[in-house]
Parts: sequence; C-alpha cells; structure tokens
Amino acid sequence: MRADEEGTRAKERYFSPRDKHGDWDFRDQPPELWNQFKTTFPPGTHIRIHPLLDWTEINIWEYIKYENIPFMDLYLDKGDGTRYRSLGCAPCTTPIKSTAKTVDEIINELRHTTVAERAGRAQDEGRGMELLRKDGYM
Amino acid sequence: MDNQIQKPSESLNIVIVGHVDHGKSTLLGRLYADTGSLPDGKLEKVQAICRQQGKDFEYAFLFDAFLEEQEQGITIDTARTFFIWKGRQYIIIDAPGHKEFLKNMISGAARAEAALLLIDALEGVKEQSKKHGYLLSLLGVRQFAVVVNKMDLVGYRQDVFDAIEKEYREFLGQFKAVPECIIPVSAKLGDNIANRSTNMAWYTGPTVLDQLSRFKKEAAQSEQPLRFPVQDVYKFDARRIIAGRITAGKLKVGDHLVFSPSNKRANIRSVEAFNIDPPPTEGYAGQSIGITLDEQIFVERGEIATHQDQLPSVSTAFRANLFWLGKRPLERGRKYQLRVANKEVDCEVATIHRIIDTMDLAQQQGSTTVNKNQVAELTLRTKTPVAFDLSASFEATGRFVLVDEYDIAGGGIVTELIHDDQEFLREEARRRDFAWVKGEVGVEDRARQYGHRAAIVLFTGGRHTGKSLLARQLEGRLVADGRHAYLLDGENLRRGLDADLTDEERGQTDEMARRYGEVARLLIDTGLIVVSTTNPFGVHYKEAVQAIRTLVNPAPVIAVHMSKTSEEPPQNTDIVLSGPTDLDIATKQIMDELKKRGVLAQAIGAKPTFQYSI
Repeated sequence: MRADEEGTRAKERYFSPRDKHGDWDFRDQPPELWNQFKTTFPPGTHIRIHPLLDWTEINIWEYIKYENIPFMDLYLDKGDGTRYRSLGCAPCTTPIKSTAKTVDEIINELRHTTVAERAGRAQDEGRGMELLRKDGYM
Repeated sequence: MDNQIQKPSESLNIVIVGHVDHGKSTLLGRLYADTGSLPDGKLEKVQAICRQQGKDFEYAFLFDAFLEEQEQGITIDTARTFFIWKGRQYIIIDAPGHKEFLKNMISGAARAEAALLLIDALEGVKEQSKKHGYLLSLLGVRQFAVVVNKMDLVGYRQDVFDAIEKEYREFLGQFKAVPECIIPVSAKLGDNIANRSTNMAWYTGPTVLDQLSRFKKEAAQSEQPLRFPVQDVYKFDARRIIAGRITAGKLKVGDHLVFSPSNKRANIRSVEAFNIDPPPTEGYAGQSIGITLDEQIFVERGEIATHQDQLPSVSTAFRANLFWLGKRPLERGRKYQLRVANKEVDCEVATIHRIIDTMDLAQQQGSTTVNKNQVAELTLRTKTPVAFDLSASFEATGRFVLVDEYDIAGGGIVTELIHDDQEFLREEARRRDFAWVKGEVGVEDRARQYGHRAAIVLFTGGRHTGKSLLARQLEGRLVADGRHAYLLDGENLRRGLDADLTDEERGQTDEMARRYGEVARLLIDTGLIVVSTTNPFGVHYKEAVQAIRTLVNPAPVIAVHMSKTSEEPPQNTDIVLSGPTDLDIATKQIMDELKKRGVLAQAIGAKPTFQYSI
C-alpha cells in the first residue's frame, strides 16, 4: 500500500493501529517523528505496517527494472493499445489506454501521464475507498 | 520515445504549514491545477459534487479525502500528494493548521526536507503561524519559504505585504531562522503560484513553483564525522553483520571503530552487500549497510559506532528543547522511554526549566508539568548511560522521542550535555578500555567454555539484613551447578590493595569503590560471575553501587537489595527482598533473573545464547 495511490491512503501512517472492530481512527493517528514510529502496542492490537508508504508508482517500476523482478504481463500492452495500471478483481477492474510494452515504456509513460493510477478501479468511485477501508480493506 | 532510464527519479518532501484557514490546501490544489498535474476528470468531478451540494468549489476539496474533512472544510490529517515537475518528483505534505491537530502537523513536517509557511495577508501573523515557524526550526527543517496568501483581499498592496514580512522576519530572527524568500500570492486566483501575477508588478522574486524547484535535495552528511547507530546484529554463517543506517560521515574497510557507550572497539573487515561484484569497501551517510569486524566483539542495537577521535557524548543526563503531544501532561519524576537513534532506555524528567510560549517566545518558569502542544526546556535523566550528540552538530543522533506507555508523546532536540557525577569514572573506564590489551582468548570463547556469560551480582542494603549469608549461598549454588562464580568480599581488599589508603580516605567511599570496581572489572574479564556485597561501604552503599556500575559497564549487573525497612532501594535495582528471608527462595529468584538476563542458559548444560552484549 502506498500513499500516492488514493486519497485516504495518502493519510496513512507507517505503523497504523486499528481497534478491535477493525476501525481506523484517522482523527487520532499516532505521531511519526523522523524515523521514530509507534512500535509498541497493548496486547491484542491489530496493526498494519506500510513499509513502502512513501514510494511512488514510478519508484516501484524503477525498482522492478533495477532488480529485474518478474511481474504479471497484464501490466503491459499486448497489442490492443490497453494495459492494466492497477489490478483488482476482474469484474471491477478495467484497463487503461496505453501502448507501454516494456518496463522502460511504463516508466516513461508515468512521467507524463495525467491518468490516475487507480482510474480503472470501480471501487474508488465516490467515497468508495473511505468506506471500504473503514471495513477493513487495505 | 526515450527509453533510457538513467537513474532513479529524484524526489523531494515538502510540507505546507500555517494557521488554520490561511489557505494551505487551496495553494496545493491551485499548484496542481495550474501545472496540469491533476488526474483527468478530478477537477470536474469535485466541481460537480460542489454544485450538487450547493456550495462554492474550493481547491482544498481536491485533497481533503475524508467526508468529514470536506463537510467541515478543514484538513484533519496530513495528506501526501505527489506531482512531477521538470523531472523531479515532489511529495507534498499538506499539514493541518488547526491547533487541535498539531500532532499531525508535526508528523508531516518531521519528514519534510523543505517547507512552505502560509500567512493570510488579511489576518496577518497568527498563533499557529508562529508556532509552526518555531516548530519547523525545532524539527530541523532549515529550508523554507514564507507565502503571504490572499493578497487579492488586501488589494495586492505592497505596504500590507511589507508589514507582514517585517513582523515575521523579526519573529524568526529570535531563533535565527531565515526564509529563502517571502512570496505574495493569491492561491484562490492563481497569482504567483505557477504563473507570475500581473497584479503585483512590485514583486520580482520567485513564484511558488519557482521556489519549489530551487529547494535543494538534502545533501547526505558525508563530510561530517562518522555516526553509525547500530540497528541490529545479524548472524549469517560464521559472520556477525552489524547493520544500520549511516546518519553522518563515512566509513571504509580497515577503519577502527568505537561503539558507545560500551567502548567496544574493532576494525572493519568488510562492507557487506547482496549480489554486488566487486563488493563495496566504503559506506556513506544516508546508506543502510552492514559491516563485519575483525574481532568478535559483542555490540547491540542502540550503540553508536564512530571513529575514536570523534566520539559522541555519553551521559545519563542532557538538556533539551521538547514539544509535548501526549494526552496526559508530561510530569516531572514520571518514567518515560527515551529513544535516541536506535537506543531505547528508561528516563525521567529531572527538571522543567521553563515553558516556552511560541507566540512571543516568552518563558514561564516553575512549572512541574508540560501540557499537550506546549514546548519546554528541560533536563532528562536516563536509567543507564546513553550515547548522543548535540543537535546543533548532528541531526539524527541529536534528537529523540519520549514514549509514554505505548505512545510517542513528545519529541525534542538535545541542546546541552549535562555532566553527571559518574563522568570522571566513565572517562577512566573509557581510557582503560581503549588501551586494554587482549589475549588470544575472547570473551565469547570463555563464555562457550564455561557455559555462561560473565556478570556481577551486587547485593545492597543496610547492616544485618542477610546480604552476606545470601551471597555465600548463591556462590555455593552456582559453583555446585558447575558455574564459575566468585564471592568478592570488600574486606579482602581492605588489608591488601587498600592498605595504602589513609583512615580518612577509607572513611570516604570514592577511592575504595573505584578500586573495588576495577577489581570486579578484571574478574569479569576472566569470565566469572562475580558475587559481591556492598558491606565495606557501610551507609554509603548507594554511591558505591553507582561507581561499580560505571566501572564494569557494559557487563550485566544484577542488583539485589535487602532491607528490613521500606527505604528506597538504589536506582536500577532488579530484585528487592525484605530482610532475612528464606535463602532458598531468594537464591532461586536470583538464578531466574540470571536466566532472564541471558547470563545463564535456561537449563544446565545447554549452551547460552549470546544475543546480548557482554
């Protein structure tokens, strides 16, 4: 999960506690100062950790290129001028227009695009993500 | 199409701060809109929602993601937004300006490399304008620009701008903060955000967008003396890899390192890296690295590695400027956990010197608590010695947080080393350790051979409380179990090693305690579990215990206090027993503590694990 994907994720902490109902109290999140995080919790606390919070979509692809990491080819255009920017379940995920066929082309596209990363994700409509995330979605 | 990827994109963290309603989110929204950085359809979508709800569109709505924020028209929590301009990625942190959310503003600002501080031209300099300006300085954000917003509401008048500039520069000057520039803008109408305003011909400085590209990427502190806080020690095959991030300076293979506060020393044998050929031989500030050493010394998380001629401060006390975020006020005398770099240690507030009013920097003395959102100057005292720097010299090792139970409740910077009463002995121990001549047998070899680590069990308390009896029983029990233990009785030093002391010197504790501590240090180096009582020091046992602790550092000290009264045991006592007690039960209690501390293995015959420093 990264902060640049979506508005409510942009407000996350690296160490993010949830209460026993799984609720996220975004009004009262723990402070994170310099490299000091909230790393101690009462027993039984549900805790989410987001180590890549400040990576961006470009950083991910640059890292994939740098380390030559294998990835799912749905992210590439296979000839029809579309590709998936973000993957979710089939019924609610649509591809975006793109001719990027390689990692380099993806990185180049991302440097100039004005299409949101999750533009193809139906659940982001309206307050979708805020409500989903309250219910436990990442 | 250009398919060449030269290097990872540079990214810069910028925070926008200022008083509530001075237009931070609006500035951000405008910046995105005017640089064409908004996702397709986002502007239209939010505008449509506003029309539906019958309210005026505001750029702020673009980033206030939560319904509650949009309804109340305020930013509750810091949002990070991302945009790319001229090849550089900007992570812009929109911090809340409402004073209730100061905690969130601080979280946002603490990770920023530069800041924009907004002031409303109509309202002028307000409470949070000052507080945020002061906190930026305290948080170490040195690059910042002041943005005077809503110039349209004052008819774009230069005299209004000049007056705010003068007032605010004077305020900043009191703590020596200097902005890169002060920019008059109207975020709502787009004056001097991305495009130069035609309404303010009198202003010739940079626009906000110009200033963003002028902010420099924070240079890694490679030219400073080395600071390498140990994050962890990994055991790979035969290698022990000391891992961490270099926060200042550089190191290379062959360098002689000192770890503080333990004073352990060794040379760097290798810099470790995965799948890099040839392997690196150097490391620089900003890098997370692993190193191996030419000797098997035991260092642990929290120590700071440096070169020998540039050591950090080591003490149990320092003076600091602190901001408090806890729901419960900070209290003098209450226990907190202090975290400096990777070190965690119990501490308490010894003195609250003054509360600083961030409105006028006036100082209020005589307080015994610091309330939420207040800034104070105070002295902290730690349970055990800790290595740190002054924040004016080293950023990362000169700042700290305080943890109250489970929560980070405050943060601060170290302003002054306070010399405690152990400084003289600590310096003696440091010089002695640096010059210590080692044989071929290391401390780990002895521990493996003996089946336990070296340590000292210190019995303290008044007369006739059964200390000697229990000490003898413990020594007997340890030896019967096959441990190497020795009862070091102070009386045996008195007629020999201390024979040259005058009656007066014997009456004072200092020199006898120093000698006792040095003898204990020698015995610990032989791998023994030293069992000792403070009998020879009579009523001065508390001072003696402190001196002995300082001299045997960093060996484990298990302190057992015996008393028939309810007197306060010495600091850091592990076990408190009331007077003559069931010796078998007491012995078992101490044995359990030795196991808990990793001195003894859980079962006789089992090899102890060496996850702790010896």
